[in-house]
Amino acid sequence: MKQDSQHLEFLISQYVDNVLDAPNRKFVEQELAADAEARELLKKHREAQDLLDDYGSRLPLIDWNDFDARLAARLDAESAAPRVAPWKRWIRPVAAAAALALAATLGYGWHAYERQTEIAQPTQGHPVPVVQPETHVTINDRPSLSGSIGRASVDEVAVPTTRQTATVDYPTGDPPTVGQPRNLPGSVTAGVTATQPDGVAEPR
Amino acid sequence: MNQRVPTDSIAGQPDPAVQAAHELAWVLAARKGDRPAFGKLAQLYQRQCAAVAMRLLGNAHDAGELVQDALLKAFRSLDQLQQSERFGPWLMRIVTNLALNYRRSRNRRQAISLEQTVGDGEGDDLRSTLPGTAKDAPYKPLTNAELGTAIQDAIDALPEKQRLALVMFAIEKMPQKDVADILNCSVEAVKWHVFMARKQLRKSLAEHF
Repeated sequence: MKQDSQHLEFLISQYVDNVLDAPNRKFVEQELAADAEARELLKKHREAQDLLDDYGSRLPLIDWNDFDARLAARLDAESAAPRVAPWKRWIRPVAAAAALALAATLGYGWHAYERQTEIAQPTQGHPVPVVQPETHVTINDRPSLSGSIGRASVDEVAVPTTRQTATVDYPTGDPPTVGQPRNLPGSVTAGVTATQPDGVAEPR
Repeated sequence: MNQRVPTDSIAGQPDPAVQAAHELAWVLAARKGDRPAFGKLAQLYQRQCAAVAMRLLGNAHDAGELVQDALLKAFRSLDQLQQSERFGPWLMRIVTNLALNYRRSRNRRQAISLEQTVGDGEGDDLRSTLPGTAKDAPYKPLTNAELGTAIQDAIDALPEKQRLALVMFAIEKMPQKDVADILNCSVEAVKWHVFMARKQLRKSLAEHF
């Protein structure tokens, strides 16, 4: 019912605006003749529109002579300025975008080339030692080992006699499994810095 | 039942077909850089543009400045006008877009200024001067100017599309098709926006009926 009522009100609004087609206009006029509520709706919409008509009759107080003179001056200035061809308006942003794209492509290409070179070099017989971050070595069965023995190849790591930290350089890109470095006697754990009082290393 | 005069045939105007032909010729000439031809187009539309701008902005000075900017922008962008015979709606779309942008930036400025004032501890005093806060004030009939302000406030409070449809169609009597073009919606949608706007306006101004 409410939907019907709103539909009728919508039609009445269009009736007030005189934009209804013939069948709908006939329908609205029949409703208006038969239904007091429809007549009340028409009255309300017409009153609102009358208020708007009155408001619309108030024209903006603008000095049109001054307006015309100022506009003419601005248009003349605009006409006098050299007209820029439409394609010229785009040339700068397009050039900037192209330069950025070129720089990004070159950067990425260079980066890819560097990576490829790094990967390819060991197989070409020019091994480059890969420096790993400092590897801490703790011997489990020696409780208070501490200190640093600097950098050494994993094959050259000496078993520290006190708790020491060793840096291990691996000859290829495949480091040994953490906790089991090659050629180290006993149980050696990489990445261990804390030692429990009983000497059992606890990896972080 | 007395009804509104149909919007597409306003009495006293020259033959629409002749006027349309003149307008098209001016548009084509202006597109080739003919400044006087564009001046004639400006003369044809500037009052309607100013009226719409004033309903959207609330004051004549800003409306005048905005129409100047819109005409200049139209002159610069004539090569972007796709249908030469639709110059009027195209120009009005520029006007409404500029007006909406102006309203948004003005609202932001007002919000910032109000926040700053509240921050200074003067907010209570300011809020008490805002309209609609003196609810206990006894009702007295509004003067003509006050009624105009009340209508403007009620229009300002409408949702954007309803406000534009009401101003262009119900107040400025622009053809529904042009309003639909400007709002980028169907003619049926324009009718609906006008219907809803008028209903809301009646609710807002209930005490004046």
